[in-house]
Amino acid sequence: MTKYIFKRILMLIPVIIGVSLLIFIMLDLAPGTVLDIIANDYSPEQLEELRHQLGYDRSVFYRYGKYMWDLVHGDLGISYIYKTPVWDLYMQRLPSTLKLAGASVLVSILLSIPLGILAARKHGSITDNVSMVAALLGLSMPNFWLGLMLIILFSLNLGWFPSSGDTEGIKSLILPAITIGTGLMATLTRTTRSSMLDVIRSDYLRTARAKGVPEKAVIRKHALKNALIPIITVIGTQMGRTLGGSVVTENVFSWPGIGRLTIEAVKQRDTITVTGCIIMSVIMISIIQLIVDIAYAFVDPRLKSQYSTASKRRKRIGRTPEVRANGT
Amino acid sequence: MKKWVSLILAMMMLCSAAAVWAEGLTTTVVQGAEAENYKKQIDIALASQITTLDPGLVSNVQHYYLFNMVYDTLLFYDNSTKELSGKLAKSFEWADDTYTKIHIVLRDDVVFHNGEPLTAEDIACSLDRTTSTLVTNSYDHVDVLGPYELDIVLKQPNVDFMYVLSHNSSAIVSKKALEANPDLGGSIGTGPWVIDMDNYVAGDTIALVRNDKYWGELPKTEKINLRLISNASSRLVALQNKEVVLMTSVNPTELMLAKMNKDLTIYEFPTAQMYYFAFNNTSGPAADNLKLRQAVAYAINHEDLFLATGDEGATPATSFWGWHMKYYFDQFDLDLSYNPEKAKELVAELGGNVTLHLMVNTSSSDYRIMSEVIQDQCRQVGIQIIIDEVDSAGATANSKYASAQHEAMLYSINMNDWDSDMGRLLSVGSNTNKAVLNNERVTELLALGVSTTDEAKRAEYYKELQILVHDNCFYIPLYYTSDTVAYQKDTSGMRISYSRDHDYSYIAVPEN
Repeated sequence: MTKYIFKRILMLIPVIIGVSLLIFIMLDLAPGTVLDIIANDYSPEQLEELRHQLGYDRSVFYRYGKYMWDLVHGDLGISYIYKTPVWDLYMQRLPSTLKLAGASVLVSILLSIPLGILAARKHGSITDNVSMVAALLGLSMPNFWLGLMLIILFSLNLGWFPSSGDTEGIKSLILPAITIGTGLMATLTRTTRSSMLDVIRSDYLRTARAKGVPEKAVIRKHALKNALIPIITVIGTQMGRTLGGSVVTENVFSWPGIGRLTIEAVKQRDTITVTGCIIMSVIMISIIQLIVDIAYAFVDPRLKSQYSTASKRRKRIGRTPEVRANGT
Repeated sequence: MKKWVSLILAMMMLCSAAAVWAEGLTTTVVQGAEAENYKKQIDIALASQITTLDPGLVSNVQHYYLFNMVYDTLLFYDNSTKELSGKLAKSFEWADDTYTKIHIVLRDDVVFHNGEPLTAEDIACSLDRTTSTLVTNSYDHVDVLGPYELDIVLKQPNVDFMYVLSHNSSAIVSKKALEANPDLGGSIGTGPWVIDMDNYVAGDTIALVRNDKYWGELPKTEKINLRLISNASSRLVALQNKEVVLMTSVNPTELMLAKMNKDLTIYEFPTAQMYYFAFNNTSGPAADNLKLRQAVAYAINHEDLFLATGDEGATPATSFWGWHMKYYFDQFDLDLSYNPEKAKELVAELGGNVTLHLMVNTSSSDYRIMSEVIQDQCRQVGIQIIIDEVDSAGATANSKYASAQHEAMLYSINMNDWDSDMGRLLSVGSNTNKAVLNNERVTELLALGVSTTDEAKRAEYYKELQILVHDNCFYIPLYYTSDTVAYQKDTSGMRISYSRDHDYSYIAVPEN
């Protein structure tokens, strides 16, 4: 398992190199640089000096090389626009983003898994169709619209929740989490349903029922546990996506998240901040994926063996390569 | 008919501008009844990001909200009375008639937020480091004559430089704090509010706490959060929901809704912001082609533009000058108001099939809407406008003076009160000169205007300048925008100004 985790961490390196190079080149191709954004505030001489300082008088590859050198030394750079270390900017926003991502996925899980199970159990019935329509509705409603509707109903008319910002703890979190969670719901409900359908039709469940195991226990202990692998995969992907920030929802609810920071930085050609935020998101997504992979092993012990080394596996089954070659 | 409407509207605007100039009605300090207790903490919604806390690094309206509260300037300019008075300066005067040296004596009871006393060294340090071209175009150095006495020396005569010293670009920061921490030292001022760095989220929320050691009047509120709520609808909901006490720029489509809310006060006012159409006068089809420039001017119906953007409080612009400026002039002999027939004649003289690329910053919906209206109006007179869409950075990059690539562009400017500020838009080499203008007489008039205090002469120079720009259509002024500030009914103490750099230092809400 340790070797596997180490391998996964090593795999991050080419991903980070590829992603950061792509960002640098793409922002370089776009018209204008951060110097153009701040041009009106500086004299031509000062701008020239800044151009030299920031490396804009040299090629994009020079700037990229310099950035990577600093990154290797643990320095994400200083934002051109905010004049603040990108690490500090990221860490200022991370708690709000983590809260929103966690709460959104939780909303999605709470809505989707019961709905998916219900749809699978009542396969082909009206309940199944209603569940699927509900899931589809969640996907079809644009976040900006749903967010505004929730604000009008729950903030403006009922006054239950604040309409913006991350200022009132859990109360601030509920509306944006529902907005994002509802959008995530469709995929998770469908995955849960199809995964459960596969398991529900299997022989061992029929056996369990035949042995008199109560239906609730059949579903909870046997069916759901065996259907969890694809569900966990989807949850992991959704968690990763939301950790990168949800720009539309963050804007509607004025949520101080990473998505809004990244978009503002793109608009201002703040390459250092954009790259820093995306690299951090890549790392966070990779960590989530790693956790998901590890979670597989706990859910399904059969998968645990895949993480073991070949020799350990051989030892466990008592066969050597020679024996296998001889076919005895 | 439309010509008459334009004329009437222009006359109305002129009358209102004259009235405003005479009575100072467009800047107001909102008064409220005295209360026993005031809310200790309030939140204010911002429409755009404040990216830096350092007044030496950036100069735009959004940042001025913060700078007004945290920093002081040497002088204070009251744009309702048009008078300058001392702020950190106890006294100030021109040292001689050359208008190149200002003698200043500082107050001796001012301390920075870090507890250090204000001295002349801090003034020198602050003016030396500011990046704003408003300051750097004229400022040379400071001669420190004593702890509280100094001379500000200019590179060239600038009779308006005292106004510049009242501007946020000249805000004073602590030299010692900057030496101790070059990154954050620029956030230590002497103003009535101190930045609470523990609760600061860059680009989102700026938490401020009252400076109890402030040398002037203390605010009634103890804590203020400046919160970014960029979506206009969300801002209004937050205001209606009492999460914030004040917001700017109500969405025009929601203005009626806001007005119907009895708990809110909506303050509408004309602003110092002007939208304009700039031709590239150095290269491209419009350079050295007066007929083309005039044809476009005749083709544009200004009222259609602001009605299309939903800014019903806007007023059409005739002169490329701020309506609020002292030497504003618009009684031109050459009438360039909307006249499609005249435009068609000029296009025919040009041989027809006239094409012009118009660069438009699509990050603002106003520009996008206006460009489409202009495209349609020009099409009707035989001018084909091709819209080149770019974002904000692209627009700035492609219109830099030294390497301008645009043929024409739509842009806007928030003009200061003093007339020489127009130099930003007309000077050779200035990146704000979107017309890429290099006209000898314009340059000469700008220099003459800024170096004399003779009222009659200044009026004459600036009048000639306005006629020159108008008749040659270097720029086509489109309209002056209007804006709104909406706030909870009992809120008071804020200074709301047509220059849009509202001061919230003394905002207060009675505790119910």
